[in-house]
Amino acid sequence: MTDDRNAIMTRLRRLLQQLADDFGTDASSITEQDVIPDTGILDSAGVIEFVMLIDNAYDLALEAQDMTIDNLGTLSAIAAFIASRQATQS
Amino acid sequence: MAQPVHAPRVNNNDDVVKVARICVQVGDAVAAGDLLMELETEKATVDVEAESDGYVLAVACEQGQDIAVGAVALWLGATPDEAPPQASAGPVTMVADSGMTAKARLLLRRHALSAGAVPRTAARLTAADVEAYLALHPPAASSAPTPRRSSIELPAPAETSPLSSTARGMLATVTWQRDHAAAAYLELEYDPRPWEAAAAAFMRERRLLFSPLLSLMAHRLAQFAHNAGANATVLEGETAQLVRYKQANLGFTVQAGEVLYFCVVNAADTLAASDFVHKLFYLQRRAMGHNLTSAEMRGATIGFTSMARWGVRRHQPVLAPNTGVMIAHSASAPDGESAILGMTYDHRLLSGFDAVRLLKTLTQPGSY
Repeated sequence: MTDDRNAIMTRLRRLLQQLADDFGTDASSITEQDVIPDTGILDSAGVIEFVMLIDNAYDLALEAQDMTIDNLGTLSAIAAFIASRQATQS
Repeated sequence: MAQPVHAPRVNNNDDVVKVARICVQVGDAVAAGDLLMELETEKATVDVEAESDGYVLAVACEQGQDIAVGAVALWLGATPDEAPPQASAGPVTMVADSGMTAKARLLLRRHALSAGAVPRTAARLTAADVEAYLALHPPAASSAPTPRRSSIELPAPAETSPLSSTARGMLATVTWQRDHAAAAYLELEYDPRPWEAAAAAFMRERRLLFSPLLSLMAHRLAQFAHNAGANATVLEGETAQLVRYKQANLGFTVQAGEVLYFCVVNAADTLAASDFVHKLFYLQRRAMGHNLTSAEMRGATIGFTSMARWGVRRHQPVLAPNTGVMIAHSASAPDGESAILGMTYDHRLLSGFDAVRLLKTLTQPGSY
């Protein structure tokens, strides 16, 4: 079953805020188009953790070549990537 | 004498772990470091390894079973014909909510007692119930292995429990440094901006999702450790021997929640920067998911650690066992124009001059 875009976005924002809380930053104002590694909301290890959480949450089985700024750099890109994977899987 | 192997604590909040896989059978000969079993919780998986050579005398749990943290999972002995303590040799019967507190469960296992033998003062058996029973029925000296106790007199009443896997790893590390290395530390102040610019360019050109700054610094260490004489160790004995490793296995610390991992990129000196960066990202992801295998945490010859994410401006790391050097990266000063790069090194391998020369090399980025 695939999630709709709003559900994916809500979940992504929750995961991001959870990590931002741990890192002592605030992710509430991030837009869908902001490049997450450039925002300073998370450090490099935090971005890796974010990707791992997304991978686990949506069972994406990410490979090294998937982890590019184009695929996973913004909330919008991540949502599109997840939708694409879910469409392929279904 | 039979030695118990206890179920370690995997997460702070889990008093029970599941036996995912038992890798040995009664009678098997095992060597220190051999995998005995795999335990898991909802959050993590951990390998239980033999701490010394020996034989499996008894397996006290079953695959798929939930057992209490601290419970005896199996018994090892120096010879195959030793008898494990009778009361604990059979399978441990455990259920998630067994009508007792976790501490009571731990005490029962430690003293090889049956829950039915201990009178309870409430619906759930408590540690106080078990302690009251033990006060009236002191365990016979031969009924269970005698745990090693510190001769230090504690200043106040206290409870003891087995060390976590992280704490055991740290104990092994600091003990090796204390007993087998001649650890020295020095640091240099440097301008971090060239490194940051190089990492940003590397990231931009390859469309990377993560900053490769720390990975590239670690890669540079792997490239220069050989020539600096840091990819080595000293074996003690009647005739001490200098051991020069033929490849540089780069150990890198990853803090995943409460657990500190030391993941290892093998033959890091033979990898191109881009391959090294991807390999280290892969290991970091596995560490954060608590999925590293023992092989992925073993065999480091040099080490790299950073506390920059917590804003730490300088720190003095501990040398990992059998490594020659551990680099300590830290956060930049608030103006971004300076930072401290530290290094703990084995003084048997490197002079202060050698160490400074290597550290200076690491403060400058390579060409990518």
